[in-house]
Amino acid sequence: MKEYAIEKLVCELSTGNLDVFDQIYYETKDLVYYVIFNILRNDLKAEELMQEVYLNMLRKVSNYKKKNFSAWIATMARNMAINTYNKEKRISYMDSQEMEFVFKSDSNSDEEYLLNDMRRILNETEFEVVLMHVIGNITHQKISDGLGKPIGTVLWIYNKAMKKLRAGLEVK
Amino acid sequence: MSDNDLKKYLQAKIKMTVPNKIEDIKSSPEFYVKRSSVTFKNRFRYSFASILILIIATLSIVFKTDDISTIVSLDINPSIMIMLNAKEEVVNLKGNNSDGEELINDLNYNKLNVEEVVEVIMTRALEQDYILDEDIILLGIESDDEELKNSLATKLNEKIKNKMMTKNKNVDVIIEKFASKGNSDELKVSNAKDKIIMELIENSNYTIEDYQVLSQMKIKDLNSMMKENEADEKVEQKNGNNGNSNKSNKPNN
Repeated sequence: MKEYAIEKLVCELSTGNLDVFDQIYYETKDLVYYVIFNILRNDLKAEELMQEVYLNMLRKVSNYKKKNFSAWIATMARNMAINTYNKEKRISYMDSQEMEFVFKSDSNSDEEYLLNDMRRILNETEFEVVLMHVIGNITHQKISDGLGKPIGTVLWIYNKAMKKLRAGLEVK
Repeated sequence: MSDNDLKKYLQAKIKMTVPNKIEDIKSSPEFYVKRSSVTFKNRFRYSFASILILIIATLSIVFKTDDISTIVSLDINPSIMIMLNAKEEVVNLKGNNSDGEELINDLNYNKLNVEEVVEVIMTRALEQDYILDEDIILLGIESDDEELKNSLATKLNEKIKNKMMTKNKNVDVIIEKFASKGNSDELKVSNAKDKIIMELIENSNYTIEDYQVLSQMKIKDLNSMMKENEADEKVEQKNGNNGNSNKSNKPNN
């Protein structure tokens, strides 16, 4: 769905029409989830916070100034995730550099290792772009909206990240 | 390995799926759109605007523009004072003598500028035969603003002369300009007339005791007396009389 079509739906939502919520949710959930996951690195916590982000969006949507909804909700998700991360860091004294990806107990451990390897090879932005595009199937345009970076920059980051991964992962 | 192959490899290894939380969100008691409320920023803006309006309103009440900054006086023989504010709007009218009071009786000066008020006064004075041919009108302007004094003098002189011309009256206008000094309320005489009377007292045998009588006289008569006095002085100087003039052009009481 094009950004202007989402804007139209958001405009309706801001007047109180909840019928359009599903469409908005399905159009933005991947972006929101990966933004949160990249910061919290824990799928369960990301899942919980994702719900909070949408409820917070409903609280604030009536004040939304028509700009770019994907960017708006991605920024909201990022800020909420950073707040959660900081709160937990204060409690457990976690070092962000040592923080590994944690998945639910039923998830594949290979997946965790690979993600942690990727995280070590790539910097934060590169990892986020690769994760969103390769795993989340989010278009470069949407990633550019979500991260608030020009599409050219996103493409350049992606290509550089793929080169690093090719060399770093030793994939045959 | 191409980018595409690497992409496929990663997709095969990482089976991450984005959870669907829509039902949880919809079942939340907070699932509703909060009505647009006045934000703190807007509240601040509204409060600031209200305070600003309040200050302006208060200031406009405190510093009302009705403060008199200029006085225009007209001595025909009815004597009238026109008070103007800083914006040159007429804020008050006053008759210095009974004829003056009568002339401005019921004159609604609201929304009129000084030129319009002078026009009305001149029309009334002509209708009531206060102005005769060869008469003299004394126009006094009191203000601390030199530029304003000069522009008012030019404008009003022209206005009076044009008005007189329409009635075929050959009338002279004497203009007296002063810095603001307040009006001579007690004497019921305009400052312009007061100046002429004082000049006459200084240069003739009239004394301050004659002031009351002189103040009742027409400007034309005062002016004639000044001229007579000047002529007498010249004659006496020619005759070698050293200032012991014995002028007796006192008005009859």
